[in-house]
Amino acid sequence: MEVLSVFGIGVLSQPFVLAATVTALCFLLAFFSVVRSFSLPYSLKALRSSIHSDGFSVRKSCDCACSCNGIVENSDSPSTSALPYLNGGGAEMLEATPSPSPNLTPLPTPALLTDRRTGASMMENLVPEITTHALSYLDYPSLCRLSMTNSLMRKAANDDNAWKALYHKDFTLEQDSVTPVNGWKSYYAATRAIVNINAQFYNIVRVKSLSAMSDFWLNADYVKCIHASGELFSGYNAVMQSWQLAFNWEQGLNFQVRDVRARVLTDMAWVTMKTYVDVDTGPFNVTNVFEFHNGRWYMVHHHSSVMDGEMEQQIVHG
Amino acid sequence: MASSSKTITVVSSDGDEFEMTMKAAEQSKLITHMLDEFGVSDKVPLYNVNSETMAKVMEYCKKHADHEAAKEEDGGAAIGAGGEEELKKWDDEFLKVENGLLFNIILAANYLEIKSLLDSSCQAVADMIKGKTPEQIREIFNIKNDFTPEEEAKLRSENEWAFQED
Repeated sequence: MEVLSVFGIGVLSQPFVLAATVTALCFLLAFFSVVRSFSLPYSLKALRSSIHSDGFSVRKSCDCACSCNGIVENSDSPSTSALPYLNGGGAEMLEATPSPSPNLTPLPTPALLTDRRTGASMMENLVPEITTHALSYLDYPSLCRLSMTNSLMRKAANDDNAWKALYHKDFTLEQDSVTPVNGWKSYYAATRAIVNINAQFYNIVRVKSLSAMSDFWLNADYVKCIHASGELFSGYNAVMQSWQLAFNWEQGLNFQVRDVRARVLTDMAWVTMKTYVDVDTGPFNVTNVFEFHNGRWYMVHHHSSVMDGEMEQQIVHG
Repeated sequence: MASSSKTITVVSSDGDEFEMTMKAAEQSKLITHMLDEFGVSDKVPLYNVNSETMAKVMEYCKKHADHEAAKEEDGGAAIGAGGEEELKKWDDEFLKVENGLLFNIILAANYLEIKSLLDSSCQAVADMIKGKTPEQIREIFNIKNDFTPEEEAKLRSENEWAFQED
């Protein structure tokens, strides 16, 4: 200030210039901050609209970023916004997209890009309820093979509810309130195994193979067999003899087995069914019981009885 | 008949507008609800469906609406027994599209609540999977295998039971 007063007239203009410059600077700063504040909401809006539409948010954010660069870059932003909409680790799959299908040239149109993107993880892109619905159209071999394709598919294809639905479709509507210890997939597998074993039993009866039958039963003293005649045979040897008699005596036995219901526990299973032979004989109600030893199932009990209402016919025919 | 030729406009996520008759629109439960709530005059925004998928869905709705109308007309006589089969054949051909579009159709059918389309498209995908090995399934759907060889072997033995028959 003292310095300035020395310069006289020149001094008068100096503070003025200084003040003017400072004011101008202030104006400029204000101007820039206003401009900034206008552009910020614009980018925010773009981001908001990209998150807005569920399920297709992946595509929206694709549109913005892909116009500048390659595909890899997109994996950052879409993965965060898309996570709520994809099953679990869908984001991981998105990053993997660049590698497959080299036939597609760098894609200009968002729609094609979308297809390629969803192509890599299509099943994962389906929201849970659609996945369950889509999986319900598969049979058990396909469901198993699908679960072997990758870790995400394994999670989806091993879904407990999917296997429960398949169980009810393929076997029985019963056991709806049951909660299998190892989940429905393994319960389905165990039931499938027992139903096959049970079918094997009738194949042995059809071909009348005593050797196969003796291999089929557990060699124990507590096994029992009650034939349709009403006779009870107890112990492995007696049971085998009864089968030998049955094979020698009865004519060709062509069984039709229906209404098979199986209940499988860890090392024990029981199966009920109805067998139809021909017009004169049967139908019969049958119960088979199996035990699991040394890695395989053995028959331990067989009980066949004539179905109610047919009793009179049976007596007549002797 | 003439009165039901009212049309409504739907807007896809890409901003394209599509016209559809009321009868066709009724194929979709969602559109029907929206019309009940907002009335016919407004354009129905369907931001979850892009234009390519929308065009296909329109085609489906129109075909099925026409089929229903024909059924009502002659009390079922015009359609006859072969009619349903013909429609099924049309559906099968209709769904013979590239995988990405097929999945978009599934998503759209779920969103628009068109049950018959959802069922048909899910069945189409299931048919693609049936009878294929895991490697073939990977190829069809561009699924990246992220298992180590040990994991793969373990999975193979776990799922062995399903490979045994047929």
